[in-house]
Amino acid sequence: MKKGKDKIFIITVLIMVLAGFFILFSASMGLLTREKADFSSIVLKQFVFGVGGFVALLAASRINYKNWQKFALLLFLFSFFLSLLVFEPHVGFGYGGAKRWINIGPFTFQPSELLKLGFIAYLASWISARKKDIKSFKFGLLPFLVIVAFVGFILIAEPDIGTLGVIVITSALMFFIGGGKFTQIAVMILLGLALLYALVLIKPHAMDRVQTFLNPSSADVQGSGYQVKQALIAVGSGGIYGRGFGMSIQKFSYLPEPIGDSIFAVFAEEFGFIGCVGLIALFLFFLYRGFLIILRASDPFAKLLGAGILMSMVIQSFINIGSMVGIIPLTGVPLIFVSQGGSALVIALIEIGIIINISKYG
Amino acid sequence: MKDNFSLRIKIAYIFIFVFGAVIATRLFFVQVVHSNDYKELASRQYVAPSAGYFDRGAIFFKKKDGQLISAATIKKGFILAINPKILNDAELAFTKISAVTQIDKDMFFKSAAKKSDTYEEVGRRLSNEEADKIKLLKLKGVDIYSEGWRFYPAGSLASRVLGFVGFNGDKLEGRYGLEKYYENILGRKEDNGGSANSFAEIIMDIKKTVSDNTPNGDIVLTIEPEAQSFFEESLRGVLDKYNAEMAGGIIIEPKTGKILAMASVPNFDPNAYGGTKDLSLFMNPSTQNVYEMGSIMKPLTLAAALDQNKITPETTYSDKGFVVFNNKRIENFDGKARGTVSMQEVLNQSLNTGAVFAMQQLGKEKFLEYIKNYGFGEKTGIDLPDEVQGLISNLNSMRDIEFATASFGQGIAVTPIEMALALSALANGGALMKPYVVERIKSQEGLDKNIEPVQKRQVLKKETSETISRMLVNVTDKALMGGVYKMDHYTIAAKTGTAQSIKSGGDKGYNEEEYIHTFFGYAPGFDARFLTLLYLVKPQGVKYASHSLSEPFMNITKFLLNYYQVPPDR
Repeated sequence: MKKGKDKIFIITVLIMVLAGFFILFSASMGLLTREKADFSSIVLKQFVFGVGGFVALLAASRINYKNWQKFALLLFLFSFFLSLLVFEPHVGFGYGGAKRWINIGPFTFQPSELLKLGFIAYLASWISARKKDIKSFKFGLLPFLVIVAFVGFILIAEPDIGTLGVIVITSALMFFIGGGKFTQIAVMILLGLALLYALVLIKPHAMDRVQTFLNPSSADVQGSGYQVKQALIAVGSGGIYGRGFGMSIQKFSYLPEPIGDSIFAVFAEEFGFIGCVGLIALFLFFLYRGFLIILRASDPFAKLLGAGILMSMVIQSFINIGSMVGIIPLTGVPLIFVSQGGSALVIALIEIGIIINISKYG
Repeated sequence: MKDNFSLRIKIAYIFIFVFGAVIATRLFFVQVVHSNDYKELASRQYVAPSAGYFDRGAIFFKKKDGQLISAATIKKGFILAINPKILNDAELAFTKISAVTQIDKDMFFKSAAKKSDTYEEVGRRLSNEEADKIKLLKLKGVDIYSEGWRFYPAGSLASRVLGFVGFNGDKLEGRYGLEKYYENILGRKEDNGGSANSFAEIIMDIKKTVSDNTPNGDIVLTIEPEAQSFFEESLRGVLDKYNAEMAGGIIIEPKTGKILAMASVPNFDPNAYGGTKDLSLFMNPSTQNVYEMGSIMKPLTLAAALDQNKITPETTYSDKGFVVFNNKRIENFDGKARGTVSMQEVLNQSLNTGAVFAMQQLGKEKFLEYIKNYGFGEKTGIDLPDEVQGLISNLNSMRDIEFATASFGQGIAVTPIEMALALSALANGGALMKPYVVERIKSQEGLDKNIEPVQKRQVLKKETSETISRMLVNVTDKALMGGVYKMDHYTIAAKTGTAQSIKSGGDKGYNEEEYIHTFFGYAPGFDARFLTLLYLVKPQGVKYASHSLSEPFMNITKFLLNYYQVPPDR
């Protein structure tokens, strides 16, 4: 089979980035009617990050992916360190009840975005180095759980349960792809559920959202239930065909974070069921084309790294969408390529660059 | 090993694919199956809370000392609604809510039984305290929403001038009176209300804000609340005393055209206009109805003849008690002949034959010219909605009989506001003014706009105005009910009128037993501060306006002279 860049994959990514930009463009109109709204600067900023992201993508596509293996531990530790900085009052920056950002000069940066990449890279190198041991408990599952727990603590402390969910599911799938036993996976799922339960008990923030999720009508409609309710109203009122591009009403007044975590609801209101299914299909097609690339790769590290990146992006997007339609508790992870946010966009494009680089080798 | 990898990656793909499929299924239910529910929730969300943001410019009466008194404002309160879908214990909810505020029991349980509904209003216009208490009950399925509504603190006062705000289709807007006329000033655009938004609309909005020349504002009326209140009480007194169909009138400042009071009773309470069965009560007869005004026309006929130097107050004619035109006989009110009488006596005794004589001296063409110059058959341009104009088209036939009857106020039907303005020309030195009810528009964005008096034209010479005023003062001093209303220190010009009312149904002809009484007067006689026009439709048990309206007119005039502290002029 001919090795080389997969044009269809690249075109798919381009379509997603462009679609995301237009969705954001429309959604940010909603900010015109709100306080301190700065519509043009939001759109412009996203555009600049998009351009910067493509430069980073090109750069990443030229860096031999093997370097990621070499520096995987370093990157992981660095991103872990950055994540710790959010608790440091001078650079850390909280918003909406959670500390997830750090200030770097004029920019704010969400280190959990980088942490995801660092963790996936490290996990890929770790699993690929332990090909034979992975099936054992002592050298496979146990250390794996320790690594995940390591990251889990910091994300629970922020709290950023959404990112934790993405990391847990992605790493479990990576562990499985890397050769983990079915019984181990089953243990992991049980353990995960137990942890989630414990988490909900100790974190009021999470408890709230789970209650909202389980019983939407009982929840305080002005509190955590509000966003879910408003998102559902937006999604539902879109109907089959949607109100049309730019015609969302919810984004103007009632829907919190119309350009952030709730952006899918704006999209759903404007493009309806057909648009939503189209978007989900686009993500699945993206994953499919990406998997074809990594199936062609011969290096186990490349396979695991690529699979981890692709899966984390799609899982994160589906978690976002799922919480907007009320099948997952609201967490607050961005929709890849669509939600406003520089760090998420740039890192996502770097990750695409890595996939492209993998596609160059066989 | 490689096959193992590709198998496992396929399983991972299926896992994520299923995740996507679950979301799509959920989307199908939300967006296709239950879409209408969410659409309804959405539109309710846009409509109901927008009532909370209901906003509208204020209307003020202006007291004589310049103090503004609220005539129409916004009141805030709360809607009590239930969500029958999740309201489990309606009995308990009712008991608890009833302890706080009164709600209709039948309606409440009927609403609560609509289990498939999510929104049923069970109470409106709750106070702040009531709303707080109900919120504290934390009843599941019981919700409180804020709302705002138009409130008229003075109740029915000037209601037929103010009008009210009501639904026109699904749009809340001024429906009658000033509320309607000044809709573009008083109305506030709902911000992103129910209508769909698009980029285009946003751009339009921005453009509109930049170029809008009808800014949001409040309006200040020329209407003086004390005078209006006294005026309405007087009218109500007459209405009840004579069991009439309607009593109405206008108090106007002759020099400026400012309306100080305008009323007709019965009227209605704009805070509860829904309870008014008779929709004609929402109209303002002073600007929207025409009447044959009767003998109050005579001073206008005489003034026209005086103005052309065709007669003087001392000019005499021979009164046979009747005149005949086109085979029709016109008589004095009592049919009696008085021999040689002066023009002053024509007014004093209200002789129809004398008015006809004056008109003849003037000539039909000139008479018609004056009638038109007085503003009859032409809208006054008052700032009230749906004004009509007087019907004077029968004069176009140039038949003698039409002119003869018109000279004493029959056969031509005019609006009370037209008549008040024409009569004001007698009082103010001969100028026809444009009447107005709003004297200031308080802008929220820019400069206030003051409305200045507008003179439409000069109808009479100044001397004519003085002469006719002297004659009308003489009427009050000597003739009106034998001169009992003469005031020693004030000159008052006045004239009564009694006309048979037009048969309802549009047939030409008069009802023998149904009359319209009219009365006008101004004071002080030679420097008029206010002119009062009264009209009484179908009074019972009284034949002449001099009997029915003299006393109310004098009471009103005395009140005004006293209230405005007008110095004595003799």
